[in-house]
Amino acid sequence: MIVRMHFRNPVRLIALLLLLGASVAFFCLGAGVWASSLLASRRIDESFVTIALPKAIELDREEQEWGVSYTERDGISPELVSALEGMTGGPVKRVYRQSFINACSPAFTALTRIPQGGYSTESAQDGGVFVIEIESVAKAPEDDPEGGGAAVRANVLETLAAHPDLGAITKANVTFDCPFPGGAEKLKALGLESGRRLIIRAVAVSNMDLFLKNNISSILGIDVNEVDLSKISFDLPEGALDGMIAAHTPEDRLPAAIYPDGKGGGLYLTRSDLDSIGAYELIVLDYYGLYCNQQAPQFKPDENGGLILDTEAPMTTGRSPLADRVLPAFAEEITGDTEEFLKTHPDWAEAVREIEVRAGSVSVIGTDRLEAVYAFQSGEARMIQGRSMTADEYAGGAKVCVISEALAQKSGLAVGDAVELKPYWGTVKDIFRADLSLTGLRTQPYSGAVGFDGEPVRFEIIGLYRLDDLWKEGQYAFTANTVFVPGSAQFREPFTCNDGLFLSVVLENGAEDEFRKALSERGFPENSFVCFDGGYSGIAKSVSGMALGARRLFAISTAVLFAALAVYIALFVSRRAKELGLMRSLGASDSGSLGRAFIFCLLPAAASSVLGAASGAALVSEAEKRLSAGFGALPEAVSGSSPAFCAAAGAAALALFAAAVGITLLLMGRASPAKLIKRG
Amino acid sequence: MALLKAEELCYHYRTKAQTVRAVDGVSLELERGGFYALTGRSGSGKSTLLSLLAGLETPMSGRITVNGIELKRDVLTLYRRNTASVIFQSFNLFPLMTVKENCMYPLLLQKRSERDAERIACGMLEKVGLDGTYFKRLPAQLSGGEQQRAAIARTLAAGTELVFADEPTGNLDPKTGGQIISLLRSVSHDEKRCVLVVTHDLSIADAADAVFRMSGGRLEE
Ligand SMILES: Nc1ncnc2c1ncn2[C@@H]1O[C@H](COP(=O)(O)OP(=O)(O)OP(=O)(O)O)[C@@H](O)[C@H]1O
Ligand SMILES: [Mg+2]
Repeated sequence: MIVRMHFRNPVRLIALLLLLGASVAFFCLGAGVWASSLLASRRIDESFVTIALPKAIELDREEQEWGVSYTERDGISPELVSALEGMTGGPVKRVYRQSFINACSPAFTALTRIPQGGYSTESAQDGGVFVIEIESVAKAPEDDPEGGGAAVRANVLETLAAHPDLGAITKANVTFDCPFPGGAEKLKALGLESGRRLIIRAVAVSNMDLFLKNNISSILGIDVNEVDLSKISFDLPEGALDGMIAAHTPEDRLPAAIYPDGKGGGLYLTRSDLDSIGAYELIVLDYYGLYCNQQAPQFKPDENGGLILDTEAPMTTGRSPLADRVLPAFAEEITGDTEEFLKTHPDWAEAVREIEVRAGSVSVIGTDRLEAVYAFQSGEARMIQGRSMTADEYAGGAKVCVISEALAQKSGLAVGDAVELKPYWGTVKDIFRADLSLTGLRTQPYSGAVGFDGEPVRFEIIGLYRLDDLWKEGQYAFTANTVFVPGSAQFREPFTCNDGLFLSVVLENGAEDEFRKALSERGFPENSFVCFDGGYSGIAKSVSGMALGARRLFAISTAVLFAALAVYIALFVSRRAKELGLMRSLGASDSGSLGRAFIFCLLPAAASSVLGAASGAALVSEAEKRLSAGFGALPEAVSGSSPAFCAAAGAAALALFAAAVGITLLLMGRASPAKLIKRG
Repeated sequence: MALLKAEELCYHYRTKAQTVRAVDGVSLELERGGFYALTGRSGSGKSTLLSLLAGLETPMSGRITVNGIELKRDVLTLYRRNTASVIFQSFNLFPLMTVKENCMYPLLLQKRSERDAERIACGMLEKVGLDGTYFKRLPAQLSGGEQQRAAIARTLAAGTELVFADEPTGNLDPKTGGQIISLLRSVSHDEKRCVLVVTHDLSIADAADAVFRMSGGRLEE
């Protein structure tokens, strides 16, 4: 009945619906855009991680009898760590620690690097055990004035262990180094002479062939894969040796062949260059009993305020603590069957195993938050498949890991596979930090003499990351041979300390200045941290601009809603006086007449709120599309909730209408029926 | 006992500038079956007195007793619903209800069934000269006189003992006016209801059982 009555005055009904509906729609638009701008800026905030990393380790300068020594001091003291933790809730969101250990897995084939113009693979994957037959002696032990050195040319009869990336090794230049007292005698005892068979343990294996190709490619400016050594010509052009003072140039440095550049010229190659073709260089170093600088390594500041190795620091005599951590296997004559030999020589069997382990050696970094690791925060590393660790996994120490795409490809692994990681420390745990400071989080070589450090642990691969530069060096850098696991899932004794390398402070976005202020207020140098915001400051302005615009829109739409409400009350609701009076004059009770008038008045408002909220939602999703265009894929989660916002805004508008109508009618209804009728 | 007894009724309109003593100590008695006329100059307080008697306004002093029961706040709604009804000076129909719905409204308030209400309403509309063709029209679709007749029908249909009419024939042609007056008279005389008509029409006053004259808020003797 009451609904029908509205339709008896369609013009007024439409006017009301338009007035109220449009204002509600606008209000919903304002509220929706405001809400989604809040959500969007929260999402944007969440998608940026601002981290602060401690700067390089500090040095303590000390006067010694022999000069000045510099020793490292923790950049991060326990006091600073607790101060940082005390800043949480302020500029600091959380302090995350990382930890480090080496591990190997038979499932991994570690990535190797043979850099342009370089010699060696990554040290953790370097080395090999070979059986060689000496072809010729290039430098006899007797010829070494300092003693302890020798060199031979040899055919490689068997590769007992080496990283598969080194390829098939058939020919090698082998350098022996026995730098400790009595080393020369040890070398002589080997009886280096042509035809002799030796088993050797090389600490470094270099592909000279590749080195030569790299040389040719860089000098002639061609791609290394296009260098074809079969093009080498021994027909030296007329007068090639002219101007060379043959008498003063060793024979192996004189041009012996030419690599043509295809333009009539070419690159002269010497005899030693030619020797590199198909050859490897093996360095056989006898660590055992090695005397060295006991306080290895010493550092001094460079001109940029950084650190460099102090090669001139005086050696102190004494046996290196390293010596005990290296297998005594060095070089030995081998006759008869190799397998038999290994059975009767456990050190050599262990040496073979050591190299096999190294082929699957990786770094394991335990973290409380992958995104707070510098490379991930800066975008140099990013997840490309699977997922990162969840909060529950971080907290519970789940046995899950994230590995690099490159390592996965090389090892034939995929997300969902499991790998068994055997932790180890190799030879260097106590001098490890120094190493890390200089080169980044590099995997350390496994030592068969030290063995493993704890039980193997199975991890499931849950995601793959991609690294822009697989071999980046320097602070905070890690290689693609790095496995990330939840910090609490780490092994028995991971390397973690207050060293800044293992600390990421996650800041509130945009709170860098506040953070520095908080540091200095607590008595710490404010520049002891480097902050990285991943580009947040760049878009912070547009985020806050968006929020401001949305807030203004909301304010305006609220004002419009109230204006419409005022018109509705003044021109419609308050005109119900006469009807109210009439109803009462005919015997309607106060409450009955008020109720009827209330329903009558509110019906168009309710319809308008529903229609307005619906069209408001449509407007908001349109607005969001525009809004999101600027921020890529971000607001998917944002727009999903906008219908709810609009429904809430519509409900709020309706509640406002109801309250206003109710109050108006109650105030009006206080008058007597006679006055009410007269008022109409 | 009188059906309605008013004693020393006063009602003042207070404006900022002055106080208008619209009703100033009026006492009167109305009997069942009586047909009364209330006359007086414009502004003499007739409509105000009518509002007081009909329970649309509460007197500032004095009292009204109907059937021996004093009209107080708590009985007003039921008084208006069941005992007294008003025909207004300017017709006051609900603009968005049809003629029939308007007439049915007080009956429905009296908790009569829809059917009863419809029957009574239609009967009364026909009595005032509005046949079935008018039932479904909205007030705006009627002439002024037709609206007045619909309003009269609505009041009479309620069947209350007391009927107050404020210049009911002002908008009617003399013939229809005459018919309405005789209808009101028969309501009082035949149905033993009490009708009080405010009027300037001397012919109506002549037909009345008694005439109250008002002047300056008081009844003249
Ligand atoms: N709301 C009001 N405020 C102030 N004065 C009022 C108000 N209503 C009526 N009056 C005054 O009260 C007096 C009585 O008014 P009332 O309407 O009762 O007169 P009436 O006799 O019915 O006149 P008419 O014959 O013109 O209808 C008048 O003088 C009028 O000016
Ligand atoms: Mg009057």
